Formats: sequence, C-alpha cells, structure tokens
Amino acid sequence: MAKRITVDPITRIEGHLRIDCQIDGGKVTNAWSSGQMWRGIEIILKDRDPRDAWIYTQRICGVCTTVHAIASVRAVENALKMEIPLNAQYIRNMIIAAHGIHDHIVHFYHLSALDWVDIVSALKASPAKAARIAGTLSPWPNNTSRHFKAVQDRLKGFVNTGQLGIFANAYWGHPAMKLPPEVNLIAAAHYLEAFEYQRQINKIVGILGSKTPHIQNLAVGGVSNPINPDDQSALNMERLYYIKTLMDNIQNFVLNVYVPDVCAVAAYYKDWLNYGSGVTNYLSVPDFPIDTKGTEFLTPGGYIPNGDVNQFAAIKSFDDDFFRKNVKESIKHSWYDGSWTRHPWDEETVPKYTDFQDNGKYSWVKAPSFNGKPAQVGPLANVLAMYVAGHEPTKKYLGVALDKINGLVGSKVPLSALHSTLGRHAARAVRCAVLYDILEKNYQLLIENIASGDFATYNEPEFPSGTQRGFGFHEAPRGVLSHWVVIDDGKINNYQAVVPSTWNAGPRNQDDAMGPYEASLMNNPVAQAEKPLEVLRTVHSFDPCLACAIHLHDNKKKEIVHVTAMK
Amino acid sequence: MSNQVITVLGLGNILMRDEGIGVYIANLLNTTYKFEPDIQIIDGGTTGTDLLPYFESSNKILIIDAVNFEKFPGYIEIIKNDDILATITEKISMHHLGLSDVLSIIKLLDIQPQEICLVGIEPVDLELGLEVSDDIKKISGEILETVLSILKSWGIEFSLL
Repeated sequence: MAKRITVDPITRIEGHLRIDCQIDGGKVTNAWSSGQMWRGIEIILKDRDPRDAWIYTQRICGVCTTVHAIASVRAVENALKMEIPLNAQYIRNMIIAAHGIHDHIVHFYHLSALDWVDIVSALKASPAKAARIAGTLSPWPNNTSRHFKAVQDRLKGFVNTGQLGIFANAYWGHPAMKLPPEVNLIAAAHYLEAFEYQRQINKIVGILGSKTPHIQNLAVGGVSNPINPDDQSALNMERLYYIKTLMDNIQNFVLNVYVPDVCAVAAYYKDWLNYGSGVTNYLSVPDFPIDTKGTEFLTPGGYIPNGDVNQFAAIKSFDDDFFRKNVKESIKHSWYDGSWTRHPWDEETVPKYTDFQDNGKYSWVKAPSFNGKPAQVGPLANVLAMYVAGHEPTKKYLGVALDKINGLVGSKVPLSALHSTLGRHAARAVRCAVLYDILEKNYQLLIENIASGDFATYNEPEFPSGTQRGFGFHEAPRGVLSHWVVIDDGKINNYQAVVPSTWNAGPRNQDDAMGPYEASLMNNPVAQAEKPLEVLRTVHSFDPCLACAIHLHDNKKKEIVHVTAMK
Repeated sequence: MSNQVITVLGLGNILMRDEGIGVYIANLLNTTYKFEPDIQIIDGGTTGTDLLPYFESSNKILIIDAVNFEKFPGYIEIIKNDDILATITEKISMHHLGLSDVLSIIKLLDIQPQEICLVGIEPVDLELGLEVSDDIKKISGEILETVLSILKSWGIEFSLL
C-alpha cells in the first residue's frame, strides 16, 4: 500500500522546508516541496533609500548574507545605468569567489556528507588501512595512519559523551549506507579538517569586506575600501599578500581533499548517478565582471532547455534582455492572494494562508519560471553552461573529476551522469576548484590595476526623478540569485528577490509542472519509509537554504518524519 | 590575565523586531560605553559557522539573544556553559540552529572558550519590522545592567562614552 511521508523537521522554529512524498513499491511516486516560512523583505524595503537596500537584504538569510548584498547593489546600479570602477569589481569578485569556495566546502562536508558517511562505522575502521586507501585517492599530507587514529579517538570520545550534537539523528547503520569503515573514517577526518579551511577562506571575505558575518564595504556605485599600497589602515600590499597565502592553502585542500572525496563517494554510490535528475532546464548567469559596464565576465552562464547543451543560449550582460524578459513567478500554488503569473517588477506581496492543499496552495515559496518553464539552478547548471561555452578552467577540473570517478569505478561514466543527485555534488566540487582560478585571476587584476596608479573604488550614484527599474543578478553558491527593484523619485517602490532556493524549492507552477526538488524526487528509491535517508540525499544535493536543518535536532527526539497510510 | 580576549556576541534577525534584540543590545553597548581593557562587540546576525573564529579566539564569550523561555515577554535569564546547549535545543528560536550547531562543533573540535554566558531575553513582538518593540526598549536598561555585571565579574571596567 502506498504511504505518505512528511519530512518537516523544523516546525518548531517557524519552519522552513517541508517535503512530502508518496511512496509506493519502495520508491517515490509523488512529491511536494513546501516553504514554511514567509519572507517579507519586500514589504520592509518599500519607501526606503535604494542605497541602503543591501544592508537589509543581507539579513534575509543567515547563511547567504554576502550574496544578497551583492545582488542588491547590482540591481540599483542597473536601474541607474551606472558604471563601477574596476577596483570595485575586482574586490567584489574576490569576495564572492571566496564566499563561494567557503559555501561549497561547508555544504559538502558539514551539511550533506552525513547523508553518505556513517560516523559510527568509522569507529570500527583500521587506521592503517584507511591511510592506504587515502593514499590511492590523493597526496594529502594528513592522510596518515597516525592522524586517522587520532581522529578515531576523538570521535570515540565525542560519541561516548552521549551528546552527539551535530551528529545526532543521522541515519547510522541505515541499509543505504554503503561506504566501508575506512572510507567513513577518511571522510570523518576530512570533515574535521574542513572546519579549518572554511575558516581560512572566510578570512578573505572578512579582510576585504571589513567584517564577517555581514560585510560592510559595499556601496551602490562601488566599494568603500580605501586603496593605498603604503597605508597601514587601507587595503595595502601586506594584506593582499596575506590573502594570497590563504587562497593557496585552500586550493590545496580543494584539489587534494574535496574533489577526491566527492569522486570517491560518487564511485561507491554510483547508483546515485542515475537518480535525482528532475527538471533539466538549467539556468545560470555570467558572473565576475571585469569591465566597468558589466559586459565582460570571467564565468559564462545561460539557459539550457531539456538538458540539451546544443540549445544553450548565453546570457551576456548585466542588462541582458533575454534574462530580464523571461523571469516570471507564479502564485497559483503559493500562499498569496490570487493566481497570477507575473514579472518580478509587477508583483505584489499579499499573503493568504490556506491549509496544505495537495492540489491547491501549499507553500510560501512562489514558483519561478524561465521562458515559461521551471528551471534548475545551482552549480550543476553553472558548470554545464560553462562547459558548453568552452570555459577552460571548467573543462580542466571537470576532466580531473570525471577521470578520477572513471578510475575508481573502472568504466567510463558519461557526461550525462551529471544530471543526478551525485552529479550535483560533483559539479559543486568542480565549481569550487574553478572559483580558485577566478579568485586568483581577480587578485592579479587588482594588483596590476593598483600598480598602474588607479585607486578609484566608487562612483557616486545620482537618482533622477521619475521611475527607474533595475535588476541585478549573481551566480551565488546555490545558483541564480536576482533582485528586482522599482525606484520612484529616489525611493523604493517595489523590491523582489528571486532566490536560488525559490527556483529549486518552488511548488508546482502555473501549468502545474513540478518544481526541481519535487521532480528530482520522483522514482528515488526509499528503503525504509520511517527513515527516508534517500529523500534527504536528493534534496540536500541542491544545497537547500536552511534545509540543512534536517540534520540538526533537539535532545528531545522530536518526531521529524511522519508516515501515514494513503487511502 | 591582561591579554585575555572577551567577546560580546549579539545574535538575531533585525528584520523581525525583537528577534534582533541581541544585535540591538550589542549596538547599544558599542555606542554608549567604553571598556577597559577593551572587548570586541560583534553583530553576529543569524549566522552559524561564520561565528566559529570568535569562539576559537575568545577566552570568554557573552552571547545576547532572544530565547523563548515560555515565562513572560521581557523575562531575562543568564545561562552558562553546557546549560546553554541544553536550553536552546528545547527553547529554540529561528536562528538557534546556527548557535546550537556552533556550540556542538566547538566541543567536537575542542576549541571551547573558558566560559560562555548567554543572556536570553524573551521577545515580545516577532512581526516583520526593523525596530525592537517599545516593551523591550523599556527594559533595555535592565538588560544592559545584566550584561555589564557579567563583564564586570570578568574583570572589565566600563564607563559611559
């Protein structure tokens, strides 16, 4: 008999993401994704000064503060048709590249690895054997039997305290866990090391952004960092050299730990290269502008319909008409008043809550569409676009990853295997490696530009009377982020943020087509309805904003999975 | 003891009125007092692992945050060390996922400060809005006193700016 499972782990905290699946014959036969929290930033920003919007938008989300700040200043700059000094572009680019690397590492190790890695099993591993296996994966200096033994002892101590904290409620011993104890131990060791590296890369954001967690250095028109190679208090050579040291440490970790670990997981779980494709219309945007107008970029982006790379349509500038015209949002299945499908500039935000209606309204998330269809966003969409656009760093690192997987599996894995749950993880690791190249390139460009005597970082915005409309996009770690602003006589009249998790977590759209999470869950195997680890694997592979919470639980063993028999 | 690092961490979402009470109080401390020896005052927002460096580099850390104690709006309580994790996992608010995460990670990584103190305040109004509620503003003197008395017990002298 079919069963209905509801994974709603966070109802006690005003709720974020709830997933419902219908399970029949050991697999998912229907799915619903429901955002459980209403985000009212649009209302807060009305009538405010557009120059301040970024300060508020970076508070929308606790995880992705920087990205909302960047998209916001870009949107206002677009409305005012501004040019941005080169130094400001490079500094912003370095911040978002560093933030992206940080985010990808944290996502794999700290927010999703426990879907694949069984920490308790690692306690049984032979450290010597683990060192031998790790040696075949990469030349990382910490992959020694002594280090693995120390990690194992630390984990034992932690598990013995009975307070599992971050490890509580993971699915230890679940039949879908397949890694040998030694590989679990290797992954656990890298899980711990990743904390140190995510901290190092975040320092770059802190140095350039003046502060973390909320950067302070942005301004509509540029950045507020004073540049002076000889001034102790300004962005000077000493700070720039320190940034370089941090960057290089990180790349070593990404290439010798992160990428090989993802490849190993893909090889041990190669079935998961067949599940989870879902919506294969992919949308990404170009980013890392290297001119003042936003027409030349270091990473390409665009639209790929139906997974067909031959139909790739590039998005070319910060003022791209194809992008501007084709983003729409539908509220047919969302808790807002009405049933419209509108362009973000023409939207209104009038909440209207009903109950969870399978065929009606069931989410606070709106359903975005591109060119009338739902689209998947994220590193996979970006990597596919960059690959088809002939982006050299992407081709290089994708080649490294696929060769490694092929070597471990012992046969050739086709490129089409990327359209899957583990394909999204692999693409994220590849993008992380690409971002280092981008970071380094911007570092060089910044140094050269400063050396040429250009210290400019800011152009003053001017607000004409009347109405201006603008949009700003950013290829954020979770995918395409766009902010849309309507300015009337220097004040914000309308503000809409179409965020990556809206694209991916959106409910059914105006044509009742499923959103990416929903579609990707179809036909996923589920061994035990009460422990739907497989559902988490696929949803987590998108890097859902705050659904990372699915791993975190209180000490009271609150029910997080609810199973009911379907009538 | 002169070189010990003391950090005050204000947490919360400033877009939801009293959710942002920790940030509000941290800003008040920053703009109205000076400290001797100096302390660092951080607006932590609603982030999680981004806060790890502050835990790692501080000898003592004082967190100010909205907590639903299920007592009454405006109720203030001081919670210390291991009791914090136990309390916030029960009385969770929107961003406590980040904090409880951080508290268990610092345990796992063995980078715990000598002392962690949480000043929790039960919020009045969690609706959308940038200002904390008038009721909370009224008791902000009491909250500041609580925070300052903890800092004093840690050997920090303070005076009005």
